[in-house]
Amino acid sequence: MATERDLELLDDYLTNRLNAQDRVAFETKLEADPDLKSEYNLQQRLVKGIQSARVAELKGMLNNIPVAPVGTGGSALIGKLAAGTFVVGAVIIGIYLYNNRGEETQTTQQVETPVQQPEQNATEPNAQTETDSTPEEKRQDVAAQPENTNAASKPEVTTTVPQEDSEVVAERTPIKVYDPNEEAEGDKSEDAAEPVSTEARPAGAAIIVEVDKTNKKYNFHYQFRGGRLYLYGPFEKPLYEILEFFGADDKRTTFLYYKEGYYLLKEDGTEKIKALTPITDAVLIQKLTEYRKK
Amino acid sequence: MNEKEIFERIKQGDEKALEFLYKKYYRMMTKLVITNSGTEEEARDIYQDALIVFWQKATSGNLVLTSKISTYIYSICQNLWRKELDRKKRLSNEEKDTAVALDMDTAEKEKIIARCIDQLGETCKKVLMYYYFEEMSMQDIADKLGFANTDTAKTKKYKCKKKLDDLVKAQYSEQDFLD
Repeated sequence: MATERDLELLDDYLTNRLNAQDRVAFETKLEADPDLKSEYNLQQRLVKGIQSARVAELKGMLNNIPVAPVGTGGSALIGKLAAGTFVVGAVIIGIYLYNNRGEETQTTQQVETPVQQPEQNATEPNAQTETDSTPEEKRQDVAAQPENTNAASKPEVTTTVPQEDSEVVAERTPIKVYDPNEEAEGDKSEDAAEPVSTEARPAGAAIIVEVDKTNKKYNFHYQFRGGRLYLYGPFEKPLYEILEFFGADDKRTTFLYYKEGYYLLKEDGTEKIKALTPITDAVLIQKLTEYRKK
Repeated sequence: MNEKEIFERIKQGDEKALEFLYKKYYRMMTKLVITNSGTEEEARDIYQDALIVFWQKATSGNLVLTSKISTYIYSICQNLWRKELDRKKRLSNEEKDTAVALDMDTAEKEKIIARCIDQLGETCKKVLMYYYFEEMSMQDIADKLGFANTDTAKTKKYKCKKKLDDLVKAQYSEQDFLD
């Protein structure tokens, strides 16, 4: 007769959770006990059934994912020929049109150097083949790691600075980011950013933000990794903002605004996941709030 | 996502990462089967089976990846398709009839078990699947399903398994499941 302990061992045996020694001992017992053997046969089918059900569930999920049909070899060949013909035709037409272009030559040059000639770009928007961002933001785009295409494809990116002309950005009162520890004695909880000169300028381009709401271990944390900011927790897009500031030495200081609280996001060059600690310094909070209102 | 991130997410049982992989390598993997006398449907089946093998090994902690993910999955696809081609070649008409007769009995029992599993609640199904397929630890199951602690997960698993045992045994007598 199989005991409760035998059934536990049976379960562990079926799921490869026994060590080698216990496994051999159990197999010996299995051969010697017909009741246990019967139960083993039943449980083996049940475990296989559970595994099959999970496989079916996963396959069902994968089947619901839309994918383009690959097609057979023959139709693929015809498709390739058609695509090749189309490409060749498009190239020929392009060359023909290019050779017949006159006044648009100047426009082509402008497209190649948009940063140096912002005024020309402003007056000839038709020539603009890049995104319609301002020169200020273009420079920051170049400076920042993520590319435009990446930013466009990442829905979690939050740009806190609205799209403005360079003149308006220059008129903003620069915010001074300072270390609250300079005022608070022995306060190690806010080992915040190093003091930045009054020339700290807000960033137009935003770091790429990825939100992970499903991580059970980290539920209010952040991490800088691969040039991106990862937020762990229930961060819904309209409820949080990322505030970036660049100092005179182009060093970035980043804050998170979430549910009326501010959090310093420290970049120390490691990929360590850190807990979000609210800023308590009233002066800094006030400055950040004023900046946000603008 | 880079390779490392994808693999980490897969190990944690993130189904979104699995979806990502599926779309990313669909063309590459199905082409292998299609260019080796398979239909697209067979190719899709083989690829899904291979991906699930990869998923199960990764989530159970039994996989140390020493190559690119695509290379690994590609080799599984190759093996599975080779086996399938061998199986098709081997089976004569007579063997097919015999195999079908035996399979009907097993298939019937499998259907009974599948029906009983369907009767379990969603949480019970998840607990049992994570435990017996993904071979997750009780801690991981507790984290993933939001249980208070491992003891809660363990109790839940015990009760769910007991319920399944009772459902199956109620359908048929034990004799029907003895070999």
